[in-house]
Amino acid sequence: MTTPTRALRGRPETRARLLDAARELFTERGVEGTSLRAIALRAGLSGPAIYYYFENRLALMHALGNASELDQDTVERPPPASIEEALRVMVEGTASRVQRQHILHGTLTLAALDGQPEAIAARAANYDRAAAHNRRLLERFVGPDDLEAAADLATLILLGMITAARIEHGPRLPEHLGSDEFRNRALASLLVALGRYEGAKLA
Amino acid sequence: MPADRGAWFSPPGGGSGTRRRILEAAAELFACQGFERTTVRTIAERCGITDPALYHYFPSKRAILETLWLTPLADPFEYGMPPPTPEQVATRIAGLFTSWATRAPFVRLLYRQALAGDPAAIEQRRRSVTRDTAAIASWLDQLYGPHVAMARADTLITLFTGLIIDTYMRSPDGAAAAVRSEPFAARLKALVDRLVPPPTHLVAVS
Repeated sequence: MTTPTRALRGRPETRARLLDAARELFTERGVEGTSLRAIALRAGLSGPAIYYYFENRLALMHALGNASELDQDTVERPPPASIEEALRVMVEGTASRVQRQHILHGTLTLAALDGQPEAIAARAANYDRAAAHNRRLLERFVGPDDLEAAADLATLILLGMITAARIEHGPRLPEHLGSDEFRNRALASLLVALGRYEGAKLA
Repeated sequence: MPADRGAWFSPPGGGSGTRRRILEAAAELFACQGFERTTVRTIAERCGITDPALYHYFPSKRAILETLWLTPLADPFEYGMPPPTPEQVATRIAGLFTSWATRAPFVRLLYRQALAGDPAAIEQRRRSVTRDTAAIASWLDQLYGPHVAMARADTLITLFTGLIIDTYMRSPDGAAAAVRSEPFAARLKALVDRLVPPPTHLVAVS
């Protein structure tokens, strides 16, 4: 599944300002209540100028997803010392990423289930990025032949945890993702799947 | 998805009555274009009746949806007795998940509505999850004992939720083809096999 690649247009500073404005407004008013025009005005542009940067709201949401992922990746941390620590980092990273943009994440999910192509591309790209990230976290503890399957398993379990949490907790999702209950359950599931089974070729 | 029409549920009362036709048409339309975007008029048109005629059978569009949730599925999965070997247990679990996955329009609609906060869909999903977790735990029990069996059943259900959402979210066409494809079957089998190892492969961890 590939993401439509379009060269980034316009000045990077302006683009970043638009993304900041979008983040603020989505949080203040929700995605549905925020027009592209309002985002442009908040960023100090004229309304129509935003279309030079983003052809529609989903394109902008896609870019937001990418930008927050980059923030995440630039955080330097020492490599995990054990598989348990790797799984803990994975849970922590996934929970806080969804927590930071739970409205955006929810909107994209529903739009993807409704078959909107931009949202499908954005969610697929998110998944592939998360799987790649999880592969890096697991590579010291899982044999090379098994790495791809192990990362897929971990990524799907986390997606399942997030999906069930969103269904059960709705608008209170961020609080739930921050709770020990969520984190312990997610870690327990990942340990069942990856940490306690010698077939997983643990180092 | 004309090929799937009516294939995944069997409205009570049988026959080819108007009520059944309404449920089938609504199921297909809700699954393809979403509940919100489907109008009562479109459903009525699909059945060749007028809107007022439809209201003779159902008070509202929501009532149609809620009837659909409670309608028994066609070809219900046979849970059966626990199979004796890990391979057979894994096959049974993969079979259960496949039976859900291939009901793509129904399950996709269920998740779509549950994620949007629809209480009837949330309740329906909760019931299915509880029943499936208990069934899977009962199959795993004789292999690993009750404690490990429950934890594994829970993890398998979470895994399946992730797999089904990932598959649906990648499929613009409602995923009917994706869930019947060879890659999907292979991915499902590999994942489930991994979670149902021979008991001797379980490492005791304090």
